[in-house]
Amino acid sequence: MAGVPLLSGRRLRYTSRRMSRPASVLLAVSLLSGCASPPPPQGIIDTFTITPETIAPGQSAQLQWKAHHAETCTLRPDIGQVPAEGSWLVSPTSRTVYTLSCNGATTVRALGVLPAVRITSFTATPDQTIPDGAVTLSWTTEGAKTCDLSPGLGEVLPTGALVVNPTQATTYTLRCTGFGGPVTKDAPVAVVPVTSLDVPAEPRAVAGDGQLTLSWTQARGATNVYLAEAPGIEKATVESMPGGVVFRKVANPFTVTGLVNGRTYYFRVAAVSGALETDLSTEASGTPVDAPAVADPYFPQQWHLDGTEDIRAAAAWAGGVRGEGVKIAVVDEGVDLGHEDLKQNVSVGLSYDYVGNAPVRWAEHGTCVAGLAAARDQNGKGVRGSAPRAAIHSLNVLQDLTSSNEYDSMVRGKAYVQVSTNSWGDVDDGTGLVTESDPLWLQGVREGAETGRGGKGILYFWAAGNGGDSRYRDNANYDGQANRRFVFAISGYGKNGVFASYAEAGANVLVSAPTEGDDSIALTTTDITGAFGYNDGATAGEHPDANYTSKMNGTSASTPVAAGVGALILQARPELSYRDVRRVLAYSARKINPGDPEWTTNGAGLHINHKYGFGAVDAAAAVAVARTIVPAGPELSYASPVAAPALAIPDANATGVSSTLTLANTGVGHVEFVEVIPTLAHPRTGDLEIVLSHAGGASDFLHLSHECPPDAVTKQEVCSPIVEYPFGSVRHLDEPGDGDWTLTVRDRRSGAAGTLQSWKLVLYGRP
Amino acid sequence: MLPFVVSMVLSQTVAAPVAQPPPKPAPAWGQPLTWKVGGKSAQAYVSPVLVAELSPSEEGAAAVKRADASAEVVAARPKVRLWRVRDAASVRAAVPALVVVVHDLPSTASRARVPVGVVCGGEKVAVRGLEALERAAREPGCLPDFWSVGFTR
Repeated sequence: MAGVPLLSGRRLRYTSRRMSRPASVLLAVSLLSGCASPPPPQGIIDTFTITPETIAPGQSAQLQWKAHHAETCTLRPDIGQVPAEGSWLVSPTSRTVYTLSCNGATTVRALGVLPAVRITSFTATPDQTIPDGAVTLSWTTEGAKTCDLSPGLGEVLPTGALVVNPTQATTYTLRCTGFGGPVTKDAPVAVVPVTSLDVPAEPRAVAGDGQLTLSWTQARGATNVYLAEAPGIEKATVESMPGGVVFRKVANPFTVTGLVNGRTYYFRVAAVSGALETDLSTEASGTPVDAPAVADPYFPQQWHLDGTEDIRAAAAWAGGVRGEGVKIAVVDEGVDLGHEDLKQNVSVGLSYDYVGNAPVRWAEHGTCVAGLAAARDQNGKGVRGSAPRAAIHSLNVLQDLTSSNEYDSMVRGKAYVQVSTNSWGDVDDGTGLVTESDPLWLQGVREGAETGRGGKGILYFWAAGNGGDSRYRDNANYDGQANRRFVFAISGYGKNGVFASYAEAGANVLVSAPTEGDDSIALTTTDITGAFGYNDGATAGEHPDANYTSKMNGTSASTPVAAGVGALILQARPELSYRDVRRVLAYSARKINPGDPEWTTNGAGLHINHKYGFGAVDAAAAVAVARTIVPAGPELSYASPVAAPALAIPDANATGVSSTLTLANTGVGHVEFVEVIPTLAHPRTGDLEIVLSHAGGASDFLHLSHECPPDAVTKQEVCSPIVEYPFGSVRHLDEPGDGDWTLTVRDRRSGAAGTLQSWKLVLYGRP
Repeated sequence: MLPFVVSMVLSQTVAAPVAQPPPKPAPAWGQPLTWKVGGKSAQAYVSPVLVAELSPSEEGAAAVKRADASAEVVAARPKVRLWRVRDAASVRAAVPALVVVVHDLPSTASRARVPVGVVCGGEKVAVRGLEALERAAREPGCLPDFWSVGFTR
């Protein structure tokens, strides 16, 4: 084929745009014309490019050039004489440097060639073991883009090692993708059962800052570690002991982090292989110790902890309250548990991966959240959380958000989890649609609040949402999760002390906490180690250290800041119930942006605002209130009769209709939470403004008039039905339950009319 | 203690009682699926333009693309992938492994969920649910298990 010479085994295609003949013919023409002309001046190469600059074996790249003051040029290697302007396709099998010479001028360009993917080694050592015995898988590859290990080990780096503990004969397979791939390689491991094991001996603990490194002598098999905060550990009772936990099938040595300095921990170990477990070893103990305090270099950048509108964390810390001994579940996409500024605070063994070996690169949001709640202080690394000595673990439920997993993430470890921070929600954020929570999620938070933490209830902190400035004016009350009485809805304000316009207001908002406001100053926190996270380390305006980001925002950011304060409260007063903590947060909140016209005072004298809740969370004040507050005792509830006025709501009318329930003898002397449950027959509920007023108390805007989003198929505006939806309000805290409660419904848009069919109230509180 | 999770195949559980969307040319919202949640009636609407692929794979993506070259991924998680297609019913007919996507409202703006089974509060209830597959989600003590797109804030 003309123009496709075969040179040195590489197929080259002649693609000059100016000339369509082979180069040999052109050379002859050039020589003839040269005889009749004076010597040309030195050549100039205008351009010489290779596109792309890197190829895979078998792919082609285009060399393109243009020169003047030259009749011909020489292109090396292998190509030879070419016109002064043209292009070639080349397909080298290895990196090649091309040199273009044109009448004394020379330019050099390199073409990289990626290697084909190849697994150069993949071994299992030893290749025979007992059930649960440790086997090290090691591998190296060339040219791999991604690799994964099966069965069930997930994504791995192209070169690495991993310890596995097979329970039966297993063939491990490494699969790598890349050019020419995928390729696979197997490593079989034989597993031979045993009938006896020796009890481990010589357990010992080496103390560190917030951690103990446990070790023992053991011949074979894996190990179960039984740990508690008191001596006398037995298998049957350890989990009912203070701080009792079992770490199953771990390697020797084993480091337990997230511990409290100065507190003594006891442990015993047992060897395990398959169903066989030995008796416990002798008991040993260790006491984590403080390391010398080293300043956290990026703490000065954390305006939310150390600034004019900060949460007054330093004052709480100075009083010796930093969250020690409190466990926080980070319910999110995952957390980089090995992060330099988090790992000391990680509760080993408590995290749960709903996917199975989820790669850490999915965990950017959760890593930011975790750092805001509990990045380690005074370790010479990065930043601080608002509870810098609290222990954290990760529940990455957002990777597989089934109803059953939502339930699980709310109750997992409910005996020991004290705080659960949740910077997530449904996809409808910003739509203004009223969306009930998943019933299994609701079952979970109810269970966690009523039976978790020994019946005192887990503190669930919940992001109020970021749809406040959307076209559809979303509101935290429409969010079936943030709206529920078992959670604390958290809104956000900026460094300037002003509500972030995207944050969602609502009658359910308990307090607000710092985040990026309309002043565009976000929060600084941990990010995934290296360049994987939000910050790749090379983005203008980002933090120069890729392990951190200065761009965390949304109510996702404000929520863990407040959750950390929840941990401080529980360290100061662990016996408080979640209902007590709700009161602590409300009574200690600071009236921020006092010029905001929406501030009002409820019937108990508490300042309240739909945007800020009871105000900005204040760590020092919260700890002080926690120390003195009288626990509430059992919760009372009162369900009102159903008012069924069946009132027609006049269309586009600012007066609307009202219905009053006069309550007496409710038994609820101090309201803690109100559920308002209306049923409206209206074809376009987005038109409606729904307001609850308590005589002598607060008024709540439960629903505001707004446009509803159109359906993409029909293009019609579709609003949510409002049928027995339980709008929640915290705004009547400590008002008496008795008295007149009036529901007003106004239709603020024209074109659709409806009826207030019925409504009722449920009051929750104490005598 | 976790509820007993009945590992039923989703489309069998929830799709069965659902009225099929009308035939071509225009996909539209069909009648809602109804069940009881805590004694309260709840509804879901089968999406005319979304389908769900469980255990996403390259082969699965190719099958969806063969059925509808314009198909595009709108949400991807490790265990489920949502595709927007021109006509969900016809794509599901062409690729039977795909699962329906339901919405809380007859609106693409409302929460989208994939039915993935039934969760029952006790093994006996679960067994009864298994025996009555179609009715399982309506058994007292049982709730449908949905996969949904959770978003960070």
